[in-house]
Parts: sequence; C-alpha cells; structure tokens
Amino acid sequence: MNAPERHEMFTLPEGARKIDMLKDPKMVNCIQFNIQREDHTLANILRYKILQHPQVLFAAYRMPHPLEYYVELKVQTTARTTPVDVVKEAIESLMLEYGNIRSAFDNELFRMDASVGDGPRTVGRMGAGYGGFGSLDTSTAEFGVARDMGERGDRGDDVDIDF
Amino acid sequence: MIAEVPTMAIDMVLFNENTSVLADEFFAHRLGLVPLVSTSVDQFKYSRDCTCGEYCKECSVEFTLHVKCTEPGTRVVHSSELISSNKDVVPVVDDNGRGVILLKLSKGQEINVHCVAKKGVAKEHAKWSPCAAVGFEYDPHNNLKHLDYWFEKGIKEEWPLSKNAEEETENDPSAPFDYNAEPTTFYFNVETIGSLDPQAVVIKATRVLQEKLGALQMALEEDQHPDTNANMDEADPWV
Repeated sequence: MNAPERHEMFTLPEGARKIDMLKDPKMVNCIQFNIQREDHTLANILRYKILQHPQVLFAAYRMPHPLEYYVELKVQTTARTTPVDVVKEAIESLMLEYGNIRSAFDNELFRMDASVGDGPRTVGRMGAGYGGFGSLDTSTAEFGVARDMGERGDRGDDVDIDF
Repeated sequence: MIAEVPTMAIDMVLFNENTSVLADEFFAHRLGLVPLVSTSVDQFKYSRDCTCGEYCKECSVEFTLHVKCTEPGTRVVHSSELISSNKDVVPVVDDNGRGVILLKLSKGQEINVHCVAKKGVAKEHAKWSPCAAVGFEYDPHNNLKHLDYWFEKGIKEEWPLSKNAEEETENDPSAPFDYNAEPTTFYFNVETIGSLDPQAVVIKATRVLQEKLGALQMALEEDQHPDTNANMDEADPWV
C-alpha cells in the first residue's frame, strides 16, 4: 500500500535538482556528485570514462540504497583540473562516442541492405574482411564519423571504437 | 537496451464482460504482456507528461476485444483479434498471422474488454521491454586472461570457441603477456520480442544514453551558475 510509485525511479520530482555537488571534507580537490534518478546505467559508464582521464586520482560510484533512486559519484583529481571539468569532459566524450557508434552502426546497416537487396535483413558476419562494396562503403563510413566529430567540435582524440 | 528503450504496452483494462475461466486480473496481466508493434513509439508522449486528464490519442492507443463463443467446442482467442484505434500500433503477429493465444472460451462464454496501451520503459514494468535476451562478450580467445578456464585435459579441447572468435586472432602463446591490454571490441547479441527490430533497439539505446548524458550535462551547466535564475527573478520587479 505504501510502496513507492514505480515511475519515481526515473522521473525527477518537481523542483528537485538533478545533480548535487558536495565537497569532500577530507580529500583535496574531491567532489561527490549525487545524481538524482539515475542508476548503474549512467554511473558505471561515467566512472569508467573518468578513470581513463590522466588527471584523475580517484573515481568511484555507489548506489546507497535500492529504494533511494540516486547514485553517488566521487571524483578526485590533481590540482591541474577540477572534478567538475573532468566529469564534463567525460560526458562530452561519451556523447561523442555514442554518436560514433550510432553512425557506424547505421552505415553498416546500409551496407548490409545494399548487399542483401530487398530480402529481409539478416544479421550476418560482417568483419573487416568483408569485400562487397568495399571502396564505396568505407568512404561513406569515414564520412559519417568525420561529420559527426565536426559537429561536436573535433574531439577525436579519445575515440577508441573498433568496428 | 533491456530496461530503457521505450515501447507500447497495454496498461489499463476495462472489463465489460468476462465469463471466461480466467479471473479479470489474470487476463489483464496477460494483455499487458502482449507485444505491440512499437515502431511509431516516438510519436507518443508518456501519459504522465501529457496534458490530458487520463489518456488521449497523443499518449495512448485504445484496443477492444469482444468475442463470444456460440458453437460447441473451444474458441481460441488470439492477440490479433484485438482491434486497435491506431493502425501503427497493433499486436505483433507471427508467420501464421494470429499472434499469441490470449485465452480459450467454451460455449456460452464471452469476453468483452477495452484496453489502453501506453508508452513506457521496462524499468517500470518488464512488459515494456523490447528485448527478450541481450548478451555480450569480448575477447573470445581469452587473450587478456580475464577468464581462468577449468579443464581436465586441455582448454582447447574442452572449451569450444564462439563464432566471434573468427573476428579476432589469438595471441602467440610464446609471446610475453601484455598486461596493459584492454578489451576494445565487444560482441552483442540482441534478441527482441517483435515490438522493435534489434537494429532499431541498438540505435534507440544509443539515443537513450545520449539523452541521459545530455540531461546531466545541462544540470551541470546550470549548477555552474546557480544564481542566474534567482537573480533574474529578483532583478525584474515588474513581474
């Protein structure tokens, strides 16, 4: 009877802040981010990305309680940067990465359609050695990725997707 | 992909008549699990975000089902007999064109229900999940030694390689182990229940993740200038 509504786990209540930043009282240059209405889906990828940053000394996250719908993300960096900047960079880089995955995936679907014809889409093996429409399609694939990066201000330094 | 890609599913059921052997709540639950073609799900709003009171065309699709068995024997009711108010959102049907079996009626039994399908995500209820099974693997040759295989005679004989192993080459066993290596290629298996293509689910999943990150980015930007909004309200005494 007093169970919380199921949609409360992903809808932000009115007036609530999406993210709270708390300075850690003991660690230098360390901030704890309390992100409302998010879970491992977001926190895990963020932590993973933040840990790849060379200036990061510590990054971890936890869900304090399964019925309290927020995650705590703690980030400590060197004095050269700030945890907030690192998180922002991580978000940008992840956005770019998902854009790249999507355009690469789209191109691959297009290529499969072209090679299969009008038949139903079958998910087959399409490794690097696939030689169907080789020259034509690699050019479109490159174009797709390059265009995506251009839109978001050329930050191709940490793209490590291998399709 | 499992939890946060939105689809349509029946969420409210009004029973006008139910003389079948199934209890109302039992049958309502079955209706909720019926897969609906959700390719046009982006055109719908979430009911809770919609301006309407309960439900409307912009946030829901209505279905009716009215079947009475008048002949002796068993009348099988399939999901394809649900009549939709929107031609884009209909029950998923298999090759025989009938869909899943909803219930069976014997002579004299009748079912007459009115259903409302809404947009939702599987975080709220699993009926909204477009996926049946999603799995992934990386490093099929175990080059990174993230796995320690149990074996009696030899790993090679007892552990068959997955199909994805064709995509990569095995490291030279005599070469020194590269302890800095990280997995870079991930192989996903996506199986859906028919409401969306697996291809569409992958693409939508990347969008969902980007939206989540975008919301966080905006929240962070706002936090950088926490006084901006407050000052604007105070600075304008004519409001």
